[in-house]
Amino acid sequence: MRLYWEIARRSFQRATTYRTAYIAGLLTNAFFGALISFVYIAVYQGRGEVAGFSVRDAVSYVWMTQALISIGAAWIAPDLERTIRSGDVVTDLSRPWSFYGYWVSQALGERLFNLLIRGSLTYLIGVLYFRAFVPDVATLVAALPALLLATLLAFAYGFLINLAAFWMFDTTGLMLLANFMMSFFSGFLLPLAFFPEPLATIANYLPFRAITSVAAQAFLGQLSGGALIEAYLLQIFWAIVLIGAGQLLLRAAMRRVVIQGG
Amino acid sequence: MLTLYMRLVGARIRAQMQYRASFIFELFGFALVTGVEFGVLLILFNRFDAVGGWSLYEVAILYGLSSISLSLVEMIGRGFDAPFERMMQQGAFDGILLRPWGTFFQILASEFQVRRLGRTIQGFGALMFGIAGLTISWTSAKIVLLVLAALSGSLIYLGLFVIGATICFWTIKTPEVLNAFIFGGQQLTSYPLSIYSEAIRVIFLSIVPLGMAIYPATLYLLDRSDPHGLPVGLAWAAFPAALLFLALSLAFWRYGVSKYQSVGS
Amino acid sequence: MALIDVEHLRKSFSIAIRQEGRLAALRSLVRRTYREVVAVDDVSFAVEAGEMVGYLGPNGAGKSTTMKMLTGILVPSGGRILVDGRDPHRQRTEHVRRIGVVFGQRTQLWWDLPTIESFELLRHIYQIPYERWRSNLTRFCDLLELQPFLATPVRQLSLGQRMRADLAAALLHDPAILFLDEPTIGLDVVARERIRAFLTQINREHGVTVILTTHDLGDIERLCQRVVLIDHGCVIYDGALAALRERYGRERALVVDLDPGGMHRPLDGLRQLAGVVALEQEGVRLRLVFDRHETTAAKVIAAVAEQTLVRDLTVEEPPIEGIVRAIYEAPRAGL
Repeated sequence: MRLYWEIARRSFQRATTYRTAYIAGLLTNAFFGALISFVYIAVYQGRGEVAGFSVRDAVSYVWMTQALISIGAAWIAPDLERTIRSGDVVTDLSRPWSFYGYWVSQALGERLFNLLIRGSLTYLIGVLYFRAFVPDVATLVAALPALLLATLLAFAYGFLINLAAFWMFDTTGLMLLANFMMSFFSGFLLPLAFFPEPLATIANYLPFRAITSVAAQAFLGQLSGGALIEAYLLQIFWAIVLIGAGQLLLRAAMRRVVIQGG
Repeated sequence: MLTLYMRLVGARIRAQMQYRASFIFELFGFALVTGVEFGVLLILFNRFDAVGGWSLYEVAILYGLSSISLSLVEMIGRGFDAPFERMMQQGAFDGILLRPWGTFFQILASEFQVRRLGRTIQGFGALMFGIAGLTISWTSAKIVLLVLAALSGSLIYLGLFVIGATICFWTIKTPEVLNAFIFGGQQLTSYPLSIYSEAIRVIFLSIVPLGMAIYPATLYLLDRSDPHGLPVGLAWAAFPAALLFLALSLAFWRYGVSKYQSVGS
Repeated sequence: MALIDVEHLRKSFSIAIRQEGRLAALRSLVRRTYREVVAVDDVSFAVEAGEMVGYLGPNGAGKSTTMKMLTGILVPSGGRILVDGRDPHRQRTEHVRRIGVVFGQRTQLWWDLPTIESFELLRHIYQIPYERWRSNLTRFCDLLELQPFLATPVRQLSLGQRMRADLAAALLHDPAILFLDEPTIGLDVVARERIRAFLTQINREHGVTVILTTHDLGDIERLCQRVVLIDHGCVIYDGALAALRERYGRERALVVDLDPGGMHRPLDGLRQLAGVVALEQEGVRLRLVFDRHETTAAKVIAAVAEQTLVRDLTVEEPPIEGIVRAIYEAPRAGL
């Protein structure tokens, strides 16, 4: 356990080194946050709640989605794929650690750092310029497990897709499709509450809403009591499924590496 | 020059076709990913009836024009994007300078991405959807402006890609900020310009005149007026402004080429 | 006027210095500090039409930078280049029509397409009349044996095949000058020899002026009548290869095969002979290295013949490696 903690801590620290790219990324997120916020302000125009969202809820939700880009909720990072292509993965696989554990710790370290700095600064811009919702301490504490689990889920899904590089020569198309599924059905592009039938039902049965939608709603205080517990359970359920699937696929990939030598 | 362009682009497409399976996968993937943007618009209008006083059909025209103009550049101008970055990192730009043609022309001819056709088709679909849903009193001026609007948008997007590539002469990497302008610009121009704050409107009407390309022409097409008093006649200024923007980015490009340091000793 | 005329050529690069410490990245966004690196300091030379010139020097001496300025890729920071009466950078498109370039490590061909398609594209890029293109291609296919892999995508060619294809590609438009940067790098002996023979032929028979950089001393010996040596961005020698030998290759070796009948005689006396630098013996073979400024081959041979029975003898020229090394190691003032 100590080892994985160290890996996470290192990658947390390493994330501090790319400051220029960091600032550029933050500004880009904030710019998109502003553009989409103006759209919501323009569609509400004096209307009260729509599908349970007031204009302020909608704008806060937008800033939350932009903040969650920092945990990888919008698209998949092809980091594992890169090591598969370069062949570095073979060395990593042969080390005396759990390969999955290594990647989980690394991803969590980096993404939580991003959430803490880039994510919160992005959201802060939303608070300052668009009066985005500021949660009280109790809501924030209640949202923390949801944010943590969302980070884990985003990672687990990305890992699963990345593994395809063991079998496929070119994964551009698959990545596009996988990114589309996540960004659309997680509520990243717009709140799931706005979805018409049957899209809403489809989204309900997919794991993606446990990422952006649940994390953002918990943070915005839209979930409480039973609904919150239910949300946690949903996240845990999908975490077990995605991580389990990842481990199984990884085992198959390792067999393939052993047979073919990478 | 045009025949040479066709030949070079033809060669590029043949090279892409060598990986047929992934090509088809990508074509499909891109169509889906860009298609969802319009899907989002539809879902939004399922819950609301107007954006800043604009109906779904009216916004669809903005969205369609914006999509078409970006997609054309994504198809023909991506040579200035990631492939150019790679070219700089590998020092392959040397080869471009060794051929008896202009550098801008050669980079343009070095890449052609058929798979971006997905967005073009989708943009056309949205445009047609918008036009079909409205009763527009057509005049020849409106048709001319409609074509000029998409064209102006394309020229400005191309200028942005060229600026991004030029920055590579100093930094080797295109700064992410440019993506904010290119894809942010597409998001921005998909909705009426009037809904944005003054700062954003001013920037996109002057420094990066994307706001001038599509919005005023659509106002003219729909016989609407801008709530902030933006003159509709600006629609006619869009094309010259776009040409000027592209000319300035080309001047910047030429300056960048003269600063090219190549790699290695 | 010379075909290539280079005067006081200079190229310096400014390189951003990485700053240390906290907020360094932020600070470097606002103000960067630069360091000037001089790659080419002061280079002048002239090349006449029909020459084949080796442009040599150690790594980092400024060879590639000079080549890139000659071909119009880089803009000089100072000095003047005229190639065929043109400024390579300012009149780039006219200039590159008249030259052919092969940079050893990088191909100019279309990676994913069959080799022949690259040749066809080049016909259109250089607007070569079909008949001329056809006859050039036939000639190169013949000389460089391209036929077997014309239909193979460039990415699948071996390094030697690719280099041959690149050479043909650089010459299809009948350039007056051919610039080669390390044309034989990474090739095996047979492939190297084939390329050298080809270069000699196009130089002699078609009058193509050739400028090449190389690390391969075999290339120099086989190809260059004239060499220009540079170091630290300056020319340190410009002249015939033979004269270079004459000037810096002071040492000669006399190789003697002894008659077994004379084997028993002591040879140590030879070591004391004036002008002899070293003496090695391996079985019947004796190797005497002498300084030809202090003695002559005749004197050394006479001395050897006096001491022992000689069956056969030869005088070896110093290898070019030794000469080049001697130049680099010599104090600069002495040059």
